[in-house]
Amino acid sequence: MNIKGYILLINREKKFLETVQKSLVDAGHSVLTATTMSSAVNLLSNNTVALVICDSELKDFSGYDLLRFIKNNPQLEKIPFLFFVPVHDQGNAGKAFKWGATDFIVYPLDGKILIERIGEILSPQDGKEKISIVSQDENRGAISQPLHDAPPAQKERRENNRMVPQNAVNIEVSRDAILWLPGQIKNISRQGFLMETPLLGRPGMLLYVRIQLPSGKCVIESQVRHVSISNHQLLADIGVEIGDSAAWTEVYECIIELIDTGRNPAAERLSVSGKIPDIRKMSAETEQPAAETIVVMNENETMYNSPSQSNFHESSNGKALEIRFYHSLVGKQLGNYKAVSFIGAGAMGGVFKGWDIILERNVALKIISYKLSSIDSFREMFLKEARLISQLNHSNIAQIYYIDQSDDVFFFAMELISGGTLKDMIKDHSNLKSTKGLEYLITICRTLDFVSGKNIIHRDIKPENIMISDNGTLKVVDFGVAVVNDGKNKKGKSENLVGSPYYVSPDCIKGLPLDARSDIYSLGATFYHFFAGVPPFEGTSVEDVLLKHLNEDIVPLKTKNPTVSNWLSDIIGKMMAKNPEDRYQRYGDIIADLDLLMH
Amino acid sequence: MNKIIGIDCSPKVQAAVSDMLGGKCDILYERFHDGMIFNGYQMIILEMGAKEEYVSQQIRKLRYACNFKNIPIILIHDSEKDIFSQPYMIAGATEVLSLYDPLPACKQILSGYLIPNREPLAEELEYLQPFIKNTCHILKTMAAIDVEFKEVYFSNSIRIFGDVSGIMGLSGNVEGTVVVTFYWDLAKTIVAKMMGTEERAIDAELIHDGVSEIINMISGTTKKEFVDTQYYFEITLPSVVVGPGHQIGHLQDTSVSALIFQAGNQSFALHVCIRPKNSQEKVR
Repeated sequence: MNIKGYILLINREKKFLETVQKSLVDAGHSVLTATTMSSAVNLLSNNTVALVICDSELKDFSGYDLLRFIKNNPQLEKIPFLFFVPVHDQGNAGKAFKWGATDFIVYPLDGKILIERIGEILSPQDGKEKISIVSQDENRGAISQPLHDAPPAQKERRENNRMVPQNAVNIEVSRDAILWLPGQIKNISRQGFLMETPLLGRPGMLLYVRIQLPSGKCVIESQVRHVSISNHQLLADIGVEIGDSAAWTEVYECIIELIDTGRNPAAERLSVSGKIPDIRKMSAETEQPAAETIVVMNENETMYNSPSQSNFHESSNGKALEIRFYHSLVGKQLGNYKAVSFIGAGAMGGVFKGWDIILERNVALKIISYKLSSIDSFREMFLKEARLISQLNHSNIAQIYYIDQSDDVFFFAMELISGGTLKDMIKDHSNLKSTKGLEYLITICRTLDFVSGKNIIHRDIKPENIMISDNGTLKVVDFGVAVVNDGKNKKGKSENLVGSPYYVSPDCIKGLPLDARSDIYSLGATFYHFFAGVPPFEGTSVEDVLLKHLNEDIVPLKTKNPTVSNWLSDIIGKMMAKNPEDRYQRYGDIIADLDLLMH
Repeated sequence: MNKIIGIDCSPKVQAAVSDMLGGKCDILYERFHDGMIFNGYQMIILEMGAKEEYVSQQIRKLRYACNFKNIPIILIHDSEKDIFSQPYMIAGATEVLSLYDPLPACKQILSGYLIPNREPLAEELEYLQPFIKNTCHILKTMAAIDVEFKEVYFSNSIRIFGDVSGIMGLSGNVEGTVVVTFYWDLAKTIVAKMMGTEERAIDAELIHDGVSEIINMISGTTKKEFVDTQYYFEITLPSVVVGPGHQIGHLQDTSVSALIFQAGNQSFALHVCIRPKNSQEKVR
C-alpha cells in the first residue's frame, strides 16, 4: 500500500501494540506506537503521521483528550483519527464524532477488519463499501456532521448510515431458516445493517433475516461481516452485508420510513424464539384457553368484552396466575400420575398429557383451577359431577378414570383422546360435506340422548368439545360445567350463566332452569357453525352475541350454505328455536328427522 | 419436609411465606452474599430490592450457584403496582409474585413448584439414553474430559441460563430441538482441550466453532442410533447463542427434558425436546 506517512498506534497495553503493529506492518504500513498521550504528541510533532489509531483510555490521559488536542491544532487537524472502543463505551465514541473522529472500531479486535478499515480511510478507491458500526447513543446529527477530510467514499458511507432507535426494528435471524432467534437492528445502510442478537455467528457465515413488513413476512439472505462480543453475559453485535435485491430494497426503505416518521414499529411478536416471555403479562391471546366458556356466578360481575377471547369472568392477571400455576406443575408427579406436558387452559382448569404409573397408560389430567378448588362448594360440585360422569359409560363420551388430590392440587384423570375437534374441521374448511356432517350430528344426538337419559345437562356443547379421534370415533368431552337435572330445581330459581357465547341457549342466558333442550339449542348452534363455516350469531362483544341469541332470528343455514338441503336447514333452525317449547323436545325426534334425510 | 431458603426477606415477606408454606417446609432466612451454596434446597425465595439491575445481578448469581439444578427462584415484591418481570425472568427467576397477588394463587404456585419431579417415562428413556451416552462419549474422545450424567428433570420450555449454548434443530421423522449449554469457563476449558491449545487463546470465535462442533457431534452421533426407529431425525445447521436468559422455540404440548451433566466440579445441561411426527396429539 502506497501511503505517505506513518500510522500512529496508541494503546496502554504494550502487548496489544506489538500484536497490532505486526499485523499492520505485515499489511505494508509503517507504524509508530505509543502508550501515553504525551509520547504520542511527541511522535506527532516529529513525524509525518497519516492516521492516528487510538484507544479510548491511555496511561496518562484519555484518547478523547488526544483527539481534542489534534483537532484543535491547525497543523494536525487533518489527520484522520480512528478509535478503538470497548462495546460498552460506544456511547462516548459517538460523541467523539462531534469532535472530529473519523471512525471507530469495537473490541475485541478483528485484524482483518482493522486493515480493511484503514484501507478505506487512507485509500478510498481501493475500499469496498463496508458496514460501519455506529454508536447506539449517537444521534443523526452527529452522523451527518462534516467528516473533515475523510475520503469521499467514507463520507458518503457515513451519511448513508442511519441509526435505528432502540427496540424500533425487531427481526429474527437464523442459520438454517428453522431455528429463529431474535435480533434488533441498531443501524442500517444500503449495504446492510448492524444488529444486536444472541446468535453468535462468525465472519463469512450466511444468515437468514426475517422481518415483518406491511406486505407480509420477508426473509432475506445476508452475510456476516464482523462479530463483536465484549462480554459473554451480553448479546453479540453482528454486522451483516446484504446483496442488492428487490426484497432488501423494500426492507431498507420500509425501515428508513419508519425511522423518518418516528412511528412505533408494527414489528411482529417473535413467535419462534426470544427472550423469556413475561408470563405475568400474558394475555388470553398468547395462552389461548382450550375452552371459551363463560361462568358467571354473580350477576353483577362483568365478563370480557370480546367473544373470541377467554370469557372467564376474572381479570387478565388472575388468568395469568392460573397459567403460571399450571406451568409450575409440568414435570411433576401428582399421586400416581405424571404430568408430562401442558396442553391448554380452560375456564375450569388446565389440561395436561399425563401418564398413569400404575396402569402404565396415557391419560389426560385435568387440574382444577386453584380458584375453584379453593372454594368448598365447587370442590363438592366437581366431586358430585365427576361421580355422575363416571357412570356415563358410553363409547362416545371421554371417560373419567380417577379423581384425586395431591399436595393441594385437585385433578381428574381422564381418557386421552388423540385426534382433532370439530373446531379444527371448521378451521380446515372441511365442514361443508353434509353427509359426513349428518353422520356426526346423528352420533352426537344419540350420545346426548344417552346423557339426558341420566338427567345430565352438558351445558357447554360447542365444536371444541366434540372430538374426532384418530380412528374416527366421536367423543363428547368436558363435562366440567355439567349439572344434574334432578327435578329439584325450583321454578324461578336463577341458574348460573354457563356456556360459550356463540352456542349458549336463550334459556341459559335468561337464567331459567335448564333441561336437555338447552343442549339441543347448543348442538344446533354447533352444527350451524359446522355446516355454514360461521357461528349463527357474531358480534363485537359477548353481550352483543348474547342479545342476538335472545332477540334475533337466525339466518337460515341454507342461506349461508346453499349446498345443504332445505330439510337440514329446517332441522337446525328448529333445534335453535328461541323458545324451548318450539324446539325438538327429544333427541329421538331429531334423529328420526335426520334419518329421513340420510335415506 | 421441603427445605427452602429465603434471601433478603423482610419480616413482612417472611410472614407471607409462612402463611403460604409454613408447617410443611423448613425455611431458613439469610442475607444475600456471594458464594451461596444451595445443596439440598428445593426453593429459593428472594425479596426484590429497589434497584432492578442489582436484583437481576442477585438472581444471576443465584442461578449460577444452582449449577443447572432445577431449583425454582421465586422473587417476591411488596408493590401493588404491576412489575415488569421480564428482566428478572431473563436473569433466571422462575416466578415473580407480589404480596398483593391473591394468597391462594401464590400458595398454589409455590406448592406446585415444590411437588417432586417426575421420573422419565420408558418411552422418554428410549430416546434420552443415547443422548446421555453420546454426550459423555463425545466429550471424552474430543476433549479428554470425563463427564458424568447426574439427573434429568422436565419442563414445558427450553429456558437456558448458561453463558453459551449450541442449538440444533431436528427434522425428519421427528420435530424437535437439542441444546447444549455451558458456563463460559467450562466452555473455554472444553474448547481449549478440543483444539489442543491453551485456554487463554480461546476467543469468542473459537468458542463458537467449538460449541457448534459439540452439538453437531452429539446430534449427529445420536442420529445414527435412531435409524429405523420413530425417533430418526435429520440435523440442520448448529446455531450458537451467547448470553444467559433465552427461551428457545419449542414444540407445543411436548415436554422438554433437561439432562444435567457433571464435568469435574462444573456442570452443564443438555435440553432435548423430541416429538415423533406420527404422535402429534390433540388431547382432552
